[in-house]
Amino acid sequence: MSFDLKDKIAVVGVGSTKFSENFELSYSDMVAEACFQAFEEASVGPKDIEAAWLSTAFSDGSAYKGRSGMDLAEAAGLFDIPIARVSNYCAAGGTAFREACLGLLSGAHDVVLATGVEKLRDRPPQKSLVKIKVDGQHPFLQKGTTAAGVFAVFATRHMEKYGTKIDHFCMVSHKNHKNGVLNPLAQYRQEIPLEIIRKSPMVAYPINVLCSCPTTDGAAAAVLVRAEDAKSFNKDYVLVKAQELIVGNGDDLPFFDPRCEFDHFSSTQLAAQKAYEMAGIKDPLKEIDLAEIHDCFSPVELILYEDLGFCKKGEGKYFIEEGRSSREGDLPVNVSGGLESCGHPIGATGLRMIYELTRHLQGKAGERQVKNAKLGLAQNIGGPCAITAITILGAQ
Amino acid sequence: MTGITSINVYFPRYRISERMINEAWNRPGGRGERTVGYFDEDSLTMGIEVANSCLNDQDNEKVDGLFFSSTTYPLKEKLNSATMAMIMDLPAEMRTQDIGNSLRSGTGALLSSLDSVRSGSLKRALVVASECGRLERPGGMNEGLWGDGASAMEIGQNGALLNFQGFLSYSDELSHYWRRSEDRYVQSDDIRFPQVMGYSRIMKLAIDRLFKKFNCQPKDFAKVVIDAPDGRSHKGLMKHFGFDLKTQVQDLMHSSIGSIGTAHPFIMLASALEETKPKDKILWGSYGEGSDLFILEATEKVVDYQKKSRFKSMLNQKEMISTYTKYLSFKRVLEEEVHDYYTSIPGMLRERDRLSRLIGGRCKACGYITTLPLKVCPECRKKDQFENIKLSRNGKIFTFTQEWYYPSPEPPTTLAVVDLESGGRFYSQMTNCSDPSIVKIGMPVEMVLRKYHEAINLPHYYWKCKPSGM
Repeated sequence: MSFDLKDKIAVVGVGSTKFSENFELSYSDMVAEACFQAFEEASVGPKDIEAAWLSTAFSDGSAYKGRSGMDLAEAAGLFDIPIARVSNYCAAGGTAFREACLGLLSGAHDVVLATGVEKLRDRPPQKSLVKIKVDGQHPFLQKGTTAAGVFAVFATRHMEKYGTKIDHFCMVSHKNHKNGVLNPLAQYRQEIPLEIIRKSPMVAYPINVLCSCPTTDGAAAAVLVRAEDAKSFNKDYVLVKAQELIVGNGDDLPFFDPRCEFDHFSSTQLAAQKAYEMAGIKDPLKEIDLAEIHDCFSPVELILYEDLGFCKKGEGKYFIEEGRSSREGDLPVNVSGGLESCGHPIGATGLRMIYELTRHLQGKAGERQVKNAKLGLAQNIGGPCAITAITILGAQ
Repeated sequence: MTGITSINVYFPRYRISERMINEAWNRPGGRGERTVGYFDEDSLTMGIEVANSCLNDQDNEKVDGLFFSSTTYPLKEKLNSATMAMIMDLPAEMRTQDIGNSLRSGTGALLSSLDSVRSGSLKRALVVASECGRLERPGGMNEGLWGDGASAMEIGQNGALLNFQGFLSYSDELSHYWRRSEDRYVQSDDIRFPQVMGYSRIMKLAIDRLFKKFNCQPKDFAKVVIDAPDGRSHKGLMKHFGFDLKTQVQDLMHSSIGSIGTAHPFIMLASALEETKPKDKILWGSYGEGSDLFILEATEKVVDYQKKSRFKSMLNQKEMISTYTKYLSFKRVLEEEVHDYYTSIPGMLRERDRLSRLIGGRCKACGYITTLPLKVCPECRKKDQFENIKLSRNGKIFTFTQEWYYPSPEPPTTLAVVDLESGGRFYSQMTNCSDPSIVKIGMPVEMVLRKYHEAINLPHYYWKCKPSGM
């Protein structure tokens, strides 16, 4: 059975903290900040929210907060309603957004909230995300990898098969850091010369440190209602055109699976195909005006150009080389600066992308506004090519 | 007739020159080099590697005894030989014994296994002698003396390459080297006293008794393979009996591998076999709080042994350690970052076929091969259809990465996705590869068991790949 979300759900309010080393804000402080911004834009208060989803990927990395819906209740004053915490690696934010859409579509609720938050910088990076991979997890399987390594094996294979070079990955980073300069919510707002990116030390071959996103705190939120109710909350609402979530693999499986080619993300290919179908998109390159996609590490963005159908398989290198994903290109990708400039508070990133698309589709993205943006795509990939969330939003 | 049906040695890839150790402490000179176990090796991993090489080309008669000897067991309490047997997938109805804690314990273990096979209570026994990390305090006078390595022999009822013609055990307590339970480093006191009143006195008495008991004399032996704590004492003893240093006496090998503790007499014997002819008599012996002495006779099989022997290639496949600091780090002498690795003893028991033994699963319904502990086949999605299959230990790299932020004494940690020759895909760390630039897609690799970490102070063993022939 398939369902259709197109034009049935509206985003009526969004909020986002600065994505940065928010030493002055706790997990709960950030939740409150993002939620109340969204409440204000949607002209609602905490008591108007009927159901909510809280996305935190790693509560162990997030000061042990976000283990359940309780941490949203306490932080945003949302008591006596159903709240669930969702966790789905880097696709957690997209998953919370999806659950919120379904909650409305089913008719169970009229006003819902999707929130994402991750508090990583209460500890040094080595003791949050890196520790989860190094110390945590199975005693043997994948032992030795960090998050970068999970994607690096794809990059190595892509280079072998398609002649992609480390330089192409550096170009992605260069573009994203250049974009980040214009985003007041980004952690890094500095253009980095290509030469410096090229020379930065390796994290996990072939990924160097400036082709990696930093460890960051942040929260973002969105208030959603059914489209027919949207006007009474916010005249400047945007519409959900499609939402897909695909779990295409397991956590350990791809590395041990003789079928895995390591040159594409199958969950993204499938999610994109289904999302385009739902949104009625035939030629993504022509029809989509901007895309916020998962540049946790530069090779991932390059491979995603191909898997999202922006270019042919193996031609991601030309897509970046020819500047087609730049602000001025055919399809501006990560005009926010992406994860590389904004950082990647895991559970928050998906909703930060929703925030970004919403502002562009409203024409309120300030200096970084993509002109005449009518259709935007947000994509996250989590785990080893395993989980993809894609959301397509459109202007009214 | 009960005899030694197989013998093999294992040397780790790495070597340190004695000069490098001396230079670190502003001391002049230094002769030759010592074998150094990599940071992920211990006496158990080396023991498994060498024991497996003994089993390889054998008939299918079952091994029913495993005797493991060392002064450097990974665990002081827990049967190390049982861990070995589990990982080697030896039959469960089997005698596993650790006989260790002395430089003479290897030959002691051999005597026990010999008695068992002779009496018929065991049919085929493996004796493994292995040392890794037997160290002197950094800066100590004997720091450059010791090496790491292992040897294994198989004792069987048929097809021996060496037969036992006599043996004698001589016990004489003397404090030459020792370690208390809590000691990290080997202790010693006087240098001359144990050479004179220990080695020389004891070995003379023991060999005299052996000669008397079996009515033999020095010229009866083609080879004299006697372990010794140092070259000078060794030479003195050989001269005393009138053994010819050039033709009869087996070199101590201290300048090429160091002294490898309880494994050393075995390694010397394996080395002597490279030059042994059928019917040659060998006088073989160990030293430590007395001596175990053996009269061995080579059979025709020694010729086959020489054809297949990997002794020389083991000795020559080597890489010099580039700095003394790296050596200390490999030996875990330098203080390490503390990690709280997750583990689960119940989990390790559940998953030991796939993970500890590297046994694959093939789906009876569709033929899909997995190296993971899965219940449901990812290809045909049927449940409980995986049957155990033997996996090849050789494969090729499909893709890889190199992690610079994973804690390791020698970063980066290479991780490789490996397609095994038997089918099945494995993902693991790479070892024995100090030069990350040689790693390429398509590179041939072999799977070897290594130590990953010590969560809950328990050594955790799992498979790594290493470049073939390294």
